[in-house]
Amino acid sequence: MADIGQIAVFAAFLICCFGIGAAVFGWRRDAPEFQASARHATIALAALLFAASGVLITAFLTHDFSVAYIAEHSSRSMPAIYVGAAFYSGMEGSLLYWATSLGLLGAAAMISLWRTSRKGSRIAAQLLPGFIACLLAIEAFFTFLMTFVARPFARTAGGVIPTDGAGLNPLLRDWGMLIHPPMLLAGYMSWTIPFCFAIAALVSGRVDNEWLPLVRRWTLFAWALLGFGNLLGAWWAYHVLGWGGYWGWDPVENCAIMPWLTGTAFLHSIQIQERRGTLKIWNMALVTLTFCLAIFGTFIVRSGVLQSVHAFALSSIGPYYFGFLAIVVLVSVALLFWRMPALRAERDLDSLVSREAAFLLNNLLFIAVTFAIFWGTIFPLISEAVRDVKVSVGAPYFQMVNGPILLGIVLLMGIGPLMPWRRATRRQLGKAFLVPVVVALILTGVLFAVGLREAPAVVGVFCCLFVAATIVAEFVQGARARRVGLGEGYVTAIYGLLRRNGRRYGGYIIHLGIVALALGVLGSQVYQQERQVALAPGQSAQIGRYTVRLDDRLEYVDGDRRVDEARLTIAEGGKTLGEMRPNKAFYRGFENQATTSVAIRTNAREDLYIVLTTWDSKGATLLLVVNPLVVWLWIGGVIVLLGTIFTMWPRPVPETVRVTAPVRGEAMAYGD
Amino acid sequence: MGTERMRSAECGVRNTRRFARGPSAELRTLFRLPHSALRIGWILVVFLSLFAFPSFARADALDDQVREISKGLRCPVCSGETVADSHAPISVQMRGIIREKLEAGETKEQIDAYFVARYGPEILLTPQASGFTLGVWVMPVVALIIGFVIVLAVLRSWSRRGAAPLAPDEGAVAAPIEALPADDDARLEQELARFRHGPKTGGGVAG
Repeated sequence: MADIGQIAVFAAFLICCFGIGAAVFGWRRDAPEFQASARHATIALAALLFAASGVLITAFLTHDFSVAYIAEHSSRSMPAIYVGAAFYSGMEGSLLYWATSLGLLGAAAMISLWRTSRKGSRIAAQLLPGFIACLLAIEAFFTFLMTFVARPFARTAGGVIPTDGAGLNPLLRDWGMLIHPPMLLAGYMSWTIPFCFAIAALVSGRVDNEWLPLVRRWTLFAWALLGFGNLLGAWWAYHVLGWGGYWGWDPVENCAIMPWLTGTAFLHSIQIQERRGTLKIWNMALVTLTFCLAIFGTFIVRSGVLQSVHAFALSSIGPYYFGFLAIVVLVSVALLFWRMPALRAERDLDSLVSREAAFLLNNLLFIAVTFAIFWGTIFPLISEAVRDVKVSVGAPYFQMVNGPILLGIVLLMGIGPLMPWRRATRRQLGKAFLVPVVVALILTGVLFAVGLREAPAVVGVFCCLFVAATIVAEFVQGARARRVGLGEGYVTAIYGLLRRNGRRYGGYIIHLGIVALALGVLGSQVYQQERQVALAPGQSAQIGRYTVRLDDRLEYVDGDRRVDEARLTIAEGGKTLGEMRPNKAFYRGFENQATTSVAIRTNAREDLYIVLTTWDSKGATLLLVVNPLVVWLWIGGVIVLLGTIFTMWPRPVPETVRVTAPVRGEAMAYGD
Repeated sequence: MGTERMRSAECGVRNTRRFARGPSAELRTLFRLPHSALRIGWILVVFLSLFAFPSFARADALDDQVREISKGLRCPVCSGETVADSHAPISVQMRGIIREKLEAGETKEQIDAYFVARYGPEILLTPQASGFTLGVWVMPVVALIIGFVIVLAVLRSWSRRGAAPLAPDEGAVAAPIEALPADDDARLEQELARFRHGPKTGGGVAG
């Protein structure tokens, strides 16, 4: 049975090789039958990988321990639902997951591109062969790895079939783990689609702005998926890992956020290209960088590289990944140089104070923060390689370096949208900025009077309020314009704005979500309170406004885990609020690795967060944390997600036809 | 032109005269300020009251200091956790040592040095800003400055090419907008620009 899976993977590899050939040949010779063949190869690839994944899932469900991967990552007692987590808990499985989801998404993108070209879009038809060839080349790499290096269907070593598997790491036995890693991996994976579009544009010479509308939705999709994957990771860390925080600037987290940051820069800078025709080279570079960082992130998660350079030699897959990254960079740079004449800027700028300048600054800050994260993440490796001294670069470094840059990005989020394109006059700026700045100053002053004194919090809150005020002002102004013009009420007017100008006002909604998220981060970073207390039953401790009393200890067995629970009563100012039950669980086979279950009491103002650390003869040791505003992090994240979905949603009103000026470099590109 | 008119009507904004901005309109915008400021203020107050003002209190001073120092130390036995956040017995013990040393009057530097002597420089999560590890701090700043210079140079080269064909007077502000792609967004922006310039002066009154 498992052999079928391995055969399917190998067949997928062959199909990739064939498809690349068919796409290139069909394009060079203008042979429609070969082009059709290439399209079919894309679909066949998706089907084969889907089948291989099906085989792996079946092997998990039937406990086929003759397959090494199944024996290493599952056990008979594991509930069937966790097959979802076991699937990608190892290197081979995550490769298969990556390749399969890319196969499906790539086939969907290919079909949509094909349909667009059938409707008469010349650009879609011209991009198609390059897109297919690039997609299949990337898939060829993954299927090659799964066929020759890390085989998901390899037999158990020694030919002895174990009676039971090693089981799944208990940390992964959580519903958050069922969705966070696949979401993150899918987020990495889906940046392949914009990258393939970019390569197709370079190869076909259609590097004008026409490919951007085709790729916009796929880019937003990838951005949302990766962002949501990161958010779920933060949620999981907060609710399961039990250290009181949601983001630890851990290497794996850093690698996950980097492509999201460069992707955000790309989403913004393509707007300049769409509007003004400039920054073509930069955008190509950004999408390539994002794709490379996504590949880097995928690889980092499963290798021990970042713990030590020496782990690199141990990982069988490392050299292949770095070879692949090198090829991606080389090919992209070569293509960029080849198309350089066609990539020249078309339009010019009138003033340094303009929307374009704000966008460039935004790009600069996103790249700067990405660089700082990257540098901090690899610095221990550099130190070890250069002087053989291990150093650590941890959360304090990242907070100190990234904090101000991120704050700058938040501030720009308010400034950018108020800047007119091309040129801003002092009078325009005064009018646009006066009200939001005054409002933000007044409100920050009020908060200062109430007791907001920490400098980072004051500055941060001012930036957030300023951005919120600009967004509200934009909505009010837009709605008022419609009200005056169409006589609509405010609610109808705002609905009309969203419906007719979804991109712009959807963007504002996303920005508003980011503001809420930033407030959550500020509150919990600056005003977190934490105490570690040892309580005997009947004793109580104070944290913030809360009194926590230990009632008793509860021990019980639940399935294949033993649970050790503390029952606590929470009171505020003499008034009982309720009960909280943090616990520790020990899974069979993993007795020395306890999983914590955090008890959290959430309201709009703050989270009371309690972790059971240890039990001894006298009582319990508890970690008590008050995390202000954390709930706004999750709310903000969901707003961002909804805003993105809204922006991507196909609108009933057809987009007005754009008249694009003829591209100067085009003739040259075709003449090649 | 006809379709353009239709579109702007669809977008719902009255075709106000672009340059109808006399001193009186100017004054009116000035006077309108407190009103709209108040409105936006109210919306924000509602938004803020959702937060119901988090408690700005801080934990007691010694707790804070222990936390501050232990946040800067890597838990020697866990992967990627700080001494402050780790539940490992050694971290609990280290927090106890920090507390004792603080009570004995030692400074953060002394305590850090104590742990470095015991566990090596790897124990510090914040690399020292001296010697080789200075590089980790300096490079991002250098990169930011270089990037800023590049951005400035790019903007300057663009603006040198772009400034010539346009007259530097006020009238040029609105004119280039006409040249933008005629999609909804640009149209709306244009209308908003007009609206901002003089919303109440439309309808031919000021014309």
